[in-house]
Order: sequence, then C-alpha cells, then structure tokens
Amino acid sequence: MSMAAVETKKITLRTADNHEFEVEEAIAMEFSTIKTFFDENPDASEDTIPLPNVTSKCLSAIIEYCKSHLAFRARETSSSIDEQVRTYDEEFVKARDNESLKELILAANYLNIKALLDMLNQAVADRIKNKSVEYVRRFFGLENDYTPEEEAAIRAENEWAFEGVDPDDD
Amino acid sequence: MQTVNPKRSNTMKDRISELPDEILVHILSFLSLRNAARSGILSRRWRHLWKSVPSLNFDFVNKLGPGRDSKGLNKYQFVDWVNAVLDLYQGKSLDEFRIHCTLGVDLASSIDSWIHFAIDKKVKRMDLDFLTRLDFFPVSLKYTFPSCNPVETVTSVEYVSLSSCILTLPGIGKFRSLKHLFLDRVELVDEVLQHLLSNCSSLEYLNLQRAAKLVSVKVDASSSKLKCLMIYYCLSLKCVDIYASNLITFTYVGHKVDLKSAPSLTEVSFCVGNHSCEDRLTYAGVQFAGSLHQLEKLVLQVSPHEVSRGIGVLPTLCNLKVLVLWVSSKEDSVTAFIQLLDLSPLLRRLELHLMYLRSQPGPSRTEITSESVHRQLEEVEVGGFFGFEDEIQLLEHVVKNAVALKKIVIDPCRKDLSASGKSVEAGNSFPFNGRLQTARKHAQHFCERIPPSINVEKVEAIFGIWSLSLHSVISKGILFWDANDVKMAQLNAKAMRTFFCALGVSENNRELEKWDKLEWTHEGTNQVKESKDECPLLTMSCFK
Repeated sequence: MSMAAVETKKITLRTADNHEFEVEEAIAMEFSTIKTFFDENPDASEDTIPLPNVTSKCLSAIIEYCKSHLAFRARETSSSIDEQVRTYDEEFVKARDNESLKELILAANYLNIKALLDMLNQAVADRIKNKSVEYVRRFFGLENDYTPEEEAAIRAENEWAFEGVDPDDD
Repeated sequence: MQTVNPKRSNTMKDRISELPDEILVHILSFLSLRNAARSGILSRRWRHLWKSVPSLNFDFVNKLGPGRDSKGLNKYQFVDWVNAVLDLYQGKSLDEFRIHCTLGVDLASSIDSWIHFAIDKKVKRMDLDFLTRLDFFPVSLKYTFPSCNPVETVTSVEYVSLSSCILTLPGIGKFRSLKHLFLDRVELVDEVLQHLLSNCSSLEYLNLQRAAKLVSVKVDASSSKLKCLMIYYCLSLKCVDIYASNLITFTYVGHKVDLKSAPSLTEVSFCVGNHSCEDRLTYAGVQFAGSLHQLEKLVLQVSPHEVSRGIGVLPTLCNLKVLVLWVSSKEDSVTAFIQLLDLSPLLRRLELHLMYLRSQPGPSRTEITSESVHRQLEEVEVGGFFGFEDEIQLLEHVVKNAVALKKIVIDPCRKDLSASGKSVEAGNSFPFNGRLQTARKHAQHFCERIPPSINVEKVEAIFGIWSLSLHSVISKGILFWDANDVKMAQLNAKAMRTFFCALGVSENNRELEKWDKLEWTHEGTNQVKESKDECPLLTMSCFK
C-alpha cells in the first residue's frame, strides 16, 4: 500500500473472516453496492464497511482486478490495450478452480461489480459449454432429483437440444 | 445414475444454492440456445431457468450443433422450432432476438408473430437475416418487414439489423428509439429511407449495403444524432447529399456518385472503382475539401499513378492519424504513396492493401526523393504482399525514415474490399498457393534486414483456404501445407473439423498431435513428393 498523498481518500473494508482492507476511494467506487451506500450516506466514509459475505481471499483478488482494469481504462484506447485486457482477464480466470470461480461470482454479485460479473459468468459458461449433463452436474454439485419419467419427458420436450452431445474433456 | 455421497453433496449444495437464479440465467445467456436448453435436465431447480435467458438466437446453421451438417433441416422444421421455444419462453423481457434462416414471404405470418413477440418483450436488439443471398432470388418472394399487421410505435428497440427482405412504409419509422440500423440486401426506395431518417430521430449509426433500388440518399439536420453513415455497393445510387448533416464518419464503397459532403467529418472512406472514376485522389480531394484539415482517418481506393497526379491538390493533412489505401492497379510503383506520408505529419498507422495480382515482375527500383522523417508513424501493415521491388522499397523507406516505428505486419493474403474484409485468397487460392510460398520467402528475406527493435509479424494465416476450399482440394489428393500450418491449424477448430471430415477421421482423434507429416500422392500417379523445393505443392506423410 503506497504512502498516498493526502488527497486520495481510503475506505476500510472488513471481510467475513475479520480481515481489514484499505482501498483507495476510486477502487471502492467500482463496487456499486458500496457506491450506492456512500451516495445515500455521505458522512459514513470514515467508518469501516463490513462485508459479511466476502472472504479475504476473494476480496484481495477482486481488488487486484479492479485496480488493473482502472489502470487499463486510464490509458488511451487502442487494439493493443484491448488485447492486454483480454489477456489479463484470461489469466485471471485460468488458474482458478471451479470452487473459487463460484466464490468470486458470489462476491462480485454481492458487491455488484458488473464488468467482473459478466467476465466471470462468461468464463463459467465457457467451462460448461458443450459438456455432457453429468459433467455440468458435477461442476455445480447438483443432484439429479428427477424421476426417470420426468427426465424422459424433458428430453422429449426439447429433443432438438439433446442431439449430438460431445464426450467429456476430463 | 451417479451415487451421491451425502456429506459431500451437502457442502456442494450449500455453495451452489447460494447462487441466485439471476446469476444462473446470466451464465446460461452466454451459451448457445441449444446448450442453454439442455440445462433443463440438470435438476428440478434448473428445469425452467433457461426459459428466461435474455437473448434468443435462432440460427439455422447452428441449430444442430457443431459438426453436423444442416442439409437435412428444412425451413418448416426451423419455424416449428422457433414457435416451440417461444411458447415455452418465460422471461419478462428480451435483450436480443435473432433469426438467421432462409425464409420468404410464404412464411410471413410466422415471421410477423415472432416480431410481435419480440416487441412485446421489449426487445432491445433485433437481428433478422432471411438469407436469400442469391441475386436472382425473385424479389416478389421476399418477406416484407413487417408484413401484414402494421407495427405500433415501438420504444424499446435500439438496434436493428435486417438482411434479405423488403422494407416499406411505415416499417422502421415506428421504431422511435432506434440508434443503430444495419440493412443488407434490403429492397427499399428513396421515400422509405427518407421517412425512416426523419422519424428515427435517435439514429446514430446507419449502414446500407446492396440496397439496389436507392437512387439518392440525403441526410440533413433532422437526423441530428446521426454520426456515422456507411454505404456499400448500392449500385443504382446517383447522389449522396450529407451537406447539412452532423456526420463524423462517412464510408462509401461503390460507383462514383454526385457527392455533397459534410463539413464535420473526421473519418472518411471513399472507395470507388477506377472504371467509374479516374483520378480518384483529385476527386476525393475536391469532394472532401472542407474536411481535409480535420480528418483523422482516411481510407481511399487509389493507384500510385493517381496519387502522383493528384497530390498537388491536397493541403497538409494535419490531423491525419490513420491512412488506409486499397490499391488495384498493377502498373506503377507503390513508392508513390510516400508522397501521402509526407503530407501527414501526425500519421500513426499506415495500411496498404494490394488487391491485384501481378503476373509479370513489377516496376523496378525507382528513385525516392523524399527524405522527410515520419515522427509519429508507429504501425505499418501490408496486405497482399508479394515481395516485388517496389513493395520492398516502400518498406525500406519506412523503416529508415519512421523513427517511432514499432510494428510491421506483412500478410501475403489479399483481402477484399467489403465490410467484412474477408480474405480473398479463400476462393481462388488453388493456383496461387505457390505465390504464397514465394511471398513468405521474400518476407523472410526482408525481415532479416530490419533492426530488432521493430516487431515484425508475418501473418501465417491461410485459413481462408482451409475452411472454404478444403473439400475440393483434398478430393484431388493434393494439399498445400507445411508443418507450421499444422500447428496454426490446431488453433482453428473449425478448419480442423472440415479437415477431419474430409479424411473420414473422427473429430475426437487426438492423434493429430502425433502426426508429423501428411503424405499425399499426385492424382493419377503413385509418385510421392517429399521435398518442399520440388514443387510448390507441399506434401507431408502421415502416420497414426
């Protein structure tokens, strides 16, 4: 954390596991939930904001993401910047397992960060695209609670969707 | 059915049950309609989620999923499919509604009902492509938008793309919030266009392609928000009057027209074939005289000879940052374009697209008298590069005189001058593949002489060749490949699929990684060619 100039205001956030994060105002404003809160309570900026639904691991990743994207936006738009943004997003998602992706989605949804949420949801969609039903169930940890008759009925109702399944990748 | 470990499923379930429905629907919205519908089978909770996805994309080609051929599907099945899904749909509003299928006036009532459905759901984007591409498809059989029932005033739609249909009054004029309009192969007459322009007062972007009946286009102050106008190949067009408009970007590709240009333009594309207009640089210079000093991007179809002739007419292009030149002449040296570089002190990017094929060697080295330094030029791209003397000379000049140069892109494939900028090599690559090999060699030689501080990209892509002509190529038993292309191909799944199909091999055969070379014999002989240098048709040997 830089020894900031007097002007940049810092906002303190407390996560579910009781870690405190100090972030610059610009970054906190990326979280629409927090921005709305401050718009309605302008005097509350000195207080620590509790985030009971966000772990410290998630929050630090999210802060990194917002910082990087703010930096990208500050530079002049060009195709090479777009490509850097794309590469950054890919790297951000690539190493994360399905569990942490889901945690990040929940956090991004709670903090209401639209761009991050879009990006993460697209990443999940890419991971389940053209995969078999069993794979997707495993991914989301779902139990099949249909009776065999119900399942057959659904398959019949949307026959066009169930043609030509690709084998799993894993 | 998988056996479920109760302990494990509890923690998993806790996690996923936290994701609210909107997020799950949002995830589904990134999938194709087919994949999204399959999610109904996952569990009870998921049964109806996909029915609220905010975008409905009914694409004839994609309906059957990857790897299947769409010949078996007829348009009545398509119509049934769309109707079935719309019946099931539960979302309250639609972001996007898309139909891509060959449909004509015989299915007008179905199409009308879909359009009404979408409008009822306050759709924002409508993309209707009726795919009647053939020029001789009888106009009387095309669908008229919108057909029988007149549309009430619509306030939700912001983006409309229509292809291959007829547009009449009052048609799109009722879409009061329209911002973007894209019309391709749409039959409309002048009156309909004018009505549209005066009623859609929020319109910001208009793209007209192949509107064969338009004779005149006039944009005036009543279209005050219109910033960008693009006109491609409207071959009956005689005049374009944008003088009283606020246009910032204007693109025109087609025959020469009577043009009254707008004074506010900062980006101009003007590409006219030279059979309808000689001396195009002079012509453009005169037509856009009022905007030249503020132009930031200029795209012109011109020959080096016309540049030399017309250069005296032009003032300094003191704001020009991007210059794109489409060159169709075979005769003269491209070094004449350096004169344009000299007129543009702030130029950052130069793109040169060489559209011709020279069968004989081009002009020999010419004397370049210009010594001016280009301080801002950072990127240069040459498409359709072969390695003729004049091309090399131009690049050498740039390398020497552009002190800020960061990147050069050399692409031996020619592009065609249409909105999609597709590679022209795709259609007629067969006899010219030897040319591509030679071009690559020349590019290689040139690159060896460039200082390492400049990043040079030699575009290897020949995938235009792949996806379109691969079947015919393979059936003749000849393939144009080298080892590099195989590696690149592994990135282009679609091309690979075509390749696999042609070989009669399963798509999932991961053995490709072990394939070093592919071996083909020439038609009619048993001779196996192995060395690259023996003939321009590269061959490879294959083992599984």
